[in-house]
Amino acid sequence: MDGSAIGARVGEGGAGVSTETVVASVRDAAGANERLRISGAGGWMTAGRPVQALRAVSLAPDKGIVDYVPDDLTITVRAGTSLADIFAATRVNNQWLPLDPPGASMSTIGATIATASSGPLAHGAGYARDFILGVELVTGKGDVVRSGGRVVKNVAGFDLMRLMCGSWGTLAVITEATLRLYAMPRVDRTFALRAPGGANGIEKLAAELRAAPLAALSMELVNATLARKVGLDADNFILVRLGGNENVVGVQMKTLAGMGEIVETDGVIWDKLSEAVSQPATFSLRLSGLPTAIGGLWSAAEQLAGNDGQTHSTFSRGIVRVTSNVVPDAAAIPRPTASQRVTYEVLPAQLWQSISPSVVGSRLSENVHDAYDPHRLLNPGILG
Amino acid sequence: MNLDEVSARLTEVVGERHVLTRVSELLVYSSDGLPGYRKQPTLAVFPGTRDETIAVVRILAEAKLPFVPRGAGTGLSGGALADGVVLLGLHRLKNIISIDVENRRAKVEPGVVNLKLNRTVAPKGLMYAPDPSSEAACTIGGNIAENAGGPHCLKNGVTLNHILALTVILPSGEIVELGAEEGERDGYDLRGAFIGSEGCFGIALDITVRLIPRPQVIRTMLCDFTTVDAAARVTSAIVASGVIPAALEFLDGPMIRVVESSIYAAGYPKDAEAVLLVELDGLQEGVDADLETVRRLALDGGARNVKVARDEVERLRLWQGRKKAFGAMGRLSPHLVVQDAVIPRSRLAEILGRIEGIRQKYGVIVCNVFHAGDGNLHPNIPYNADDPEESERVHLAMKEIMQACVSVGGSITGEHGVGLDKMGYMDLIFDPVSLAAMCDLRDAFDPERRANPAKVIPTHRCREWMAAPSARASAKAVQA
Repeated sequence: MDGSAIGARVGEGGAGVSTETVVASVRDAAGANERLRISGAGGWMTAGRPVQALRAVSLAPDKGIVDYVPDDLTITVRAGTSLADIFAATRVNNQWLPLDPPGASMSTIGATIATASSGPLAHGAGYARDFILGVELVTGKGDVVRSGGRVVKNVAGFDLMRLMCGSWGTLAVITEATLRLYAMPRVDRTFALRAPGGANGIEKLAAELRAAPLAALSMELVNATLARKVGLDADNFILVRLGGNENVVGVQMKTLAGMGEIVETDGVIWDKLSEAVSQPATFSLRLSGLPTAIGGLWSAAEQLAGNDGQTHSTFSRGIVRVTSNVVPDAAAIPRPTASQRVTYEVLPAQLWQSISPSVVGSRLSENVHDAYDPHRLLNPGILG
Repeated sequence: MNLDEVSARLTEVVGERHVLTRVSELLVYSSDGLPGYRKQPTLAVFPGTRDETIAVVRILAEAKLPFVPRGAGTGLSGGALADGVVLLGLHRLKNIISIDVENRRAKVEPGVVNLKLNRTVAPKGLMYAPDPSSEAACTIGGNIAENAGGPHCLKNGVTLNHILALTVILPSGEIVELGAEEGERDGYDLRGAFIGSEGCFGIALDITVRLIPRPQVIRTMLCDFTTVDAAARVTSAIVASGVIPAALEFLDGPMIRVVESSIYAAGYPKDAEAVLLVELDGLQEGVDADLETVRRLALDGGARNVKVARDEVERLRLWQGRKKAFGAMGRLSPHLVVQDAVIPRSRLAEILGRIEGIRQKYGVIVCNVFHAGDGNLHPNIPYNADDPEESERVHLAMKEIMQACVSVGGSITGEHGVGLDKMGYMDLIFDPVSLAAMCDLRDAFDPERRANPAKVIPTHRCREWMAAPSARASAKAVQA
């Protein structure tokens, strides 16, 4: 059994989802003493610890742009709005939200924030937490709360926006978000740089790229399986996305060419990559550590990936992600160490308790949880 | 434990020199960077090491005494003022613990001065991006408390975007790790919640900051205008063009003339009604092209002149006028109100017009110097706080400016924090339920509400305030 809602019988999704209906759902669930499974588009329901919930609320129908003033470079959207819709609405003004988590085409902004998902653009642009300017939430107490605002700089009040990032819906249901946009780079080109196989080679190349005069939008290392799926040879590659004016892209391209064999690829390769790494897997996790430790992290991930698994890495951030349809033996699943953190995404249900019972078990996290969802109504147990 | 007993216990930990109890000694801590408020602590304690800080917090926890953490006291919202409670100064904790050049991070104690960190990492080709105007004095711990910004946050982001991890001592004395020094941290983003919590959630004992490579080249240009409107429109045009300046700063005519009559004169044309200070940085080839784009936009938008600093001396001089603008205002009057409202960028020209109307209505002087690229306004009003009639006019003008900014969807503070000064405006932008939810977050970190009490959220908005009588009782005990 995976982590999706078990026997959901009250599907409140469908037309007419709004802040008010979410409040009603939360209050009704509290009244009936039943738990609620919160979701976005439902593309990643296997992620996280198993959730026992009799009711479900999907935010996907609650979509649309509430406010978009191109001159302000900000956009306010309902939580169910997909990243693709945000991209389409903003690109007509040469603007974008530089956020490309796995499955970006269908992911909702609410779920992207709640799961703190990111993609290759994290290298140059950052994470969801870096773009959020404001949120509207419905807490587990049924309160409608606003934090932040619609301007690009704001320190008024305590920060409930960041608190939502990575909370997986366990504190509150995100119903609306305001995000910072950026002007799209005038020139946007992608190059594939062939990368070595072993840990030492990867580490050396990553160090060279770190030291080089490059200000790339993305630098993502992909393994042979993924390279093949996005139309490259079956070999390790680093995909480098350069943006800016023509001059700055040109000079960086030359720098890159001096570091190894490069081929220019169509920018669509990023969509293909996002699609490939979002395919349902029975096992996926992220290893992370210091950027200088990337060689070891990569080797460990490649070992888990085996012959058919997919491994990709935003190595400047020290993150490697592996997805596979072969679940390793429990003993072979990596555990956190002093120098390596592990973020488990998808595991067989029976393994969670032994491998990672909770990531919110500290007294402080418990206090925060008590403050917003004291009855543990929302996505109960998904973080442990 | 009465105050004398607490004082004796603290003295055992930090030494006699570092515990102040005499009114004359405490006077210097009765104000911070924002003139106009005076609040007297009952006692001030200055631990010199991490262990001493832990011991001090635990003694205060045992005695159930409220306290106010303070860095360099450069804050502009009255947030570091201790009103009849203990002041806990952290400026002696100034060790840079480690610098990891390869992984671009440094671990520092909270009392490290912002500019000191930058000077230390500069020879290694790195920088710590947030650069508040008080960078020469303010501490990283204080920057965390306020989620400080600065002119260069337009391109690189604010403090929040540059902190990887913190070790925090909660007011209860418990020590927690927030964020991760290496890799990703699962669970709630408590690091994000802590940054900008204005000293209400605890004290950072050490901070791991992200460093970024120093740009290959930096070019700074001064565009001067005969109307405020034209400068505001050019600001929008630059931001919309796709060029992301490192900084985009605005000084209006009155501000220019104050700066130019001071020792910080930067060579801004005195007859201009506005200047834009635009800085571009990055790789040489890219900056050269962007410079031409900005020059064209400025001239097409009505700039009289566009001057590019020829060398580092000229560049720093252009910046001096901006960074010392608040200081230059000391020439005008003994006191100064500094506002920090943020507005949507597209409303800049409109709001500057409304501020001018408000200035005329109340017969006050308003000097505008601000981060135009972010829409973060700093209208400043110099005045004499000893003149009650003038003070009243200034107060009314400020309130009306704030209301104007909020009415177009703005915020009451972009980087200075709420502290004491902006607390009265919180109801303008947040409803009671949202304010109560923020109080709940504070309670998760500090259930007794002893850290920086009665700041940020108006107390009447905190649910169950009566349910935490210990804080109030002990506050009274200290005052008695």
